[in-house]
Amino acid sequence: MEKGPSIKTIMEPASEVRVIREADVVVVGGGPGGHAAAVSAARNGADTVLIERYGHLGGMATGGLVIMVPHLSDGTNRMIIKGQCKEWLDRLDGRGAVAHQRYEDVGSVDKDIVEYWNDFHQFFVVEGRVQLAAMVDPELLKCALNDMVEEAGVKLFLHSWGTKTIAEGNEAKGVIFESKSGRQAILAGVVIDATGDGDLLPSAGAEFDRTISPNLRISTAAVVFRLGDVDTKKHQAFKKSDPRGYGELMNQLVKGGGFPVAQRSAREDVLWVSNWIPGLDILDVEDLTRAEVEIRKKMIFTHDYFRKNIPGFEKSFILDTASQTGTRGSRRLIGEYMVTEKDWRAGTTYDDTIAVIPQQRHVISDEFPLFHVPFRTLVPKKVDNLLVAGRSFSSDGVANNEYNLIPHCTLYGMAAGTAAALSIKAGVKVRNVDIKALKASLIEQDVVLPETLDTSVKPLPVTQAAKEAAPDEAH
Amino acid sequence: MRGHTSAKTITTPAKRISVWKEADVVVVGGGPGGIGAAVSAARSGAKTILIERYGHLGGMATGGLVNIIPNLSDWSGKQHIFGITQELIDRLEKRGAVSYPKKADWGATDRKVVDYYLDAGLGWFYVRKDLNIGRERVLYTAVVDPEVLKDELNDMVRESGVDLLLHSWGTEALMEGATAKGVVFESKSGRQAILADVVIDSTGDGDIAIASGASFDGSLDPALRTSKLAIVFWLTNVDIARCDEFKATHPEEFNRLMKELVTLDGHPHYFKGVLESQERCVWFHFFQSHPDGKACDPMDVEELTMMDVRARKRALTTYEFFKKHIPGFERSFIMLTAPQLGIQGGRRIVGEYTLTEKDMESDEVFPDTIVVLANNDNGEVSARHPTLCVPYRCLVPEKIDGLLVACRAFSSADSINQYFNIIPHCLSYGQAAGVAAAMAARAGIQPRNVDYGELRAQLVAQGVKLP
Repeated sequence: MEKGPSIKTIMEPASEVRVIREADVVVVGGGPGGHAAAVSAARNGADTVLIERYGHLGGMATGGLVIMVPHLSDGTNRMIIKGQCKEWLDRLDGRGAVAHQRYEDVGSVDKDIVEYWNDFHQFFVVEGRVQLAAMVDPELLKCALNDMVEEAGVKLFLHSWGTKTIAEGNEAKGVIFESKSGRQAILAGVVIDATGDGDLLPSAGAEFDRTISPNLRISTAAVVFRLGDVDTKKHQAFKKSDPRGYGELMNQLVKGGGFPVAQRSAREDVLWVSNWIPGLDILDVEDLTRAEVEIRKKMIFTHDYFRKNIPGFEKSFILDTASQTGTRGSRRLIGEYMVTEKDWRAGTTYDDTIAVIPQQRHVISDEFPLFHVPFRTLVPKKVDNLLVAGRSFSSDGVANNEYNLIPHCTLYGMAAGTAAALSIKAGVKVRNVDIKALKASLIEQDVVLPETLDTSVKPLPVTQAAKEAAPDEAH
Repeated sequence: MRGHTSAKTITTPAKRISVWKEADVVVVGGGPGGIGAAVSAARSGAKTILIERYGHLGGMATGGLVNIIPNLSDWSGKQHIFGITQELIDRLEKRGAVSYPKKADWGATDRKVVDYYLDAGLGWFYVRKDLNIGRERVLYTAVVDPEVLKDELNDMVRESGVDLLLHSWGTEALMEGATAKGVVFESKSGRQAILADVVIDSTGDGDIAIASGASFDGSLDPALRTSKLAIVFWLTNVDIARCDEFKATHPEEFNRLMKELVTLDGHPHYFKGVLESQERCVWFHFFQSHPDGKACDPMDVEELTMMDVRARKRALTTYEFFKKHIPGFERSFIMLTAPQLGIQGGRRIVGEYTLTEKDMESDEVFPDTIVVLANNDNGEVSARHPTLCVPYRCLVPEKIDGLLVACRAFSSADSINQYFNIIPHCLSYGQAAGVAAAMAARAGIQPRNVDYGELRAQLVAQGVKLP
């Protein structure tokens, strides 16, 4: 049958959508940002609903198979990122479900300890010092995240896709979501967009910026996969015995379209392989489809290549592929404040700091200060009763590129959830939440803020190596 | 006011949404039904679009981790399901990604062959007692590698010229009166529409058909498999030889431990991996009843959530128990829990014909038979009636035009749906629906009016064996 040129639009009629629940706070998205927001909101007394598209919580950390939680300390012995992120580690410790340095070794320059962790993964050491980081077991983390939500009394909807904000003028009133139960609505006092991509912003009328420079990591997408039954000792020994030869083999692999970056995990016999595919718009479902199909093919090629050419992979197999596309960046809220590259380099401080974050690649020094994030980056300019929690916090491309990782998003989520709960209790708009009360609650939830930073530990002297270090990519 | 369910509704205003594309046929759902439908529609010459909710194709066979394609033969070993199902097995064979008994062993009573599958715990999929001869026999059943299958399905879809969209959730049909004209779907690109002459609902649960106003039967007997939700998960790094040794030398202790596991709400029965890449894997597939004893309503997202959370807990309990108590599991870990819920059954669309239990005993060859299935699970009935025909009319909704149902939700009573809503069955329903949809689109007629003679000829040409 001949098909003419496509009709551009159709008219969908008005409809009545059943309201399934009314709550204080509704969080859309159960990844690091949304999970933390929902748990913090509930722990601070709000009746909280959490809507999650997949059947599990954790977003990129679990379904995305990005099982790394890095950069938690600053090169000194101070743990900088704690809060719920540390709670993950505490819940996974002792179950064979996480690999991380001992807390007493954080900041250590002991040669053997540093060498061990540098061999384990380059992000576990920064400028010759132990920088706290963890590799988690995604399946056991899914369980721990369920427990946290259950214990906090959050009302959970899995397999539920939040599609739009219900807005009345400039006020967010709730969300519409799709599920096997059909199209339904949830009304709430505060809506938190933790979709990672600010999917709820357009329907809320909130401004956002989608531009991403193609030279940034956040302009790439991935599908992560894991390899099992790897003889890691054999692999490491081979790499060390002939680094040039190994490099050549990896070059050949890349030439053939494969993925060379195989990273350690919480288990000795499992590696995870990430990739960085440029030129895709992850808000374009055709690009998402293309990424899934092409990467799946290249994954098979990659594994066959490793099996054939690299010692240690003789009996390996593809354990799994991420059920969630590895997206790194898209929409960013244009909020009451936008952190920028300038703020990153200058270490700008604020009255409403809700997160303090270590540098990725440098020990803390006067030249590379701690990064502060103000509450206002979570607050839209015009729209009331709406916050973002996670990757889409208000930031320019460069700042976002540095500070949209899993542990960072847990901090943004904790701030958003706590602010939502406190503002409802106080009967004020969430943009006007009492910042002192917010900070006090975050501190009580074990978040490190400027007020509680151990200032007896001085910034370290900046090294020449640090100044020359080129940015590296493994997220 | 806060914190409880509400009887309110809100109004969403009329809105313009963009049309992504137009096609002859749009298939919603990329599981076995949808694959069969999309590939065969495209091969029959229709411009075909396939939209899938997850980032992979295969539905229960991949994302559901039910990596088994069972019951391709009857008790005697005679194969009945061919078509796209056999094609998939052939393709996976080329990639070393499938395992099945060799042809000479289909129907085998040889104890060595039978015991191999029983020992792996796979009796339910591979072995049946043939009541006609009083002995156990092996079925033609295949185990597949889900990761390779995902890639192979991508290839099949691409090679046949289907336009694929992943990460796209089909939510409702676009209707003109009682005729479906396309579908609406959600994705990261927002809410969009696809216009098509024929819509094929392969959502598993008839989501699109129900949204279009098709009548359906949602009754579920809590005693049947269809009323339960399954969880599948895999453990790897298992030293299975040590476990076997322990079972053989300490059978009472092993049984006692398994009983204890059950009291802890865990699940004792595991299957062994039979593919070469799965030598150190075991997997668990267990059904969960609703805690209140009624049937699970798979269309209630709160129930789905509750069951998913509970399933994950039970999986963890089971894993930690095996790890602590059973030799061979000390260094094992949870490889993966299925990202797709194991819905076993649910709503069934009321079609032009409704398959019932009596059809198993009638031996009727319908005027519009689209597939012959092996009838292996019904004891005495199976002994006398080794096969069952399924008519095209089971895929055609009673009152809605422009729509076919090709999945678990085909028109059938619950009691028979439980046996014939499995992966190879849905692949076959899909294959028929795809051909019929292409024919309807080409001739500009409704799917219910497709000429059966021509449909049959095309199915046979595509490798389907019909009576």
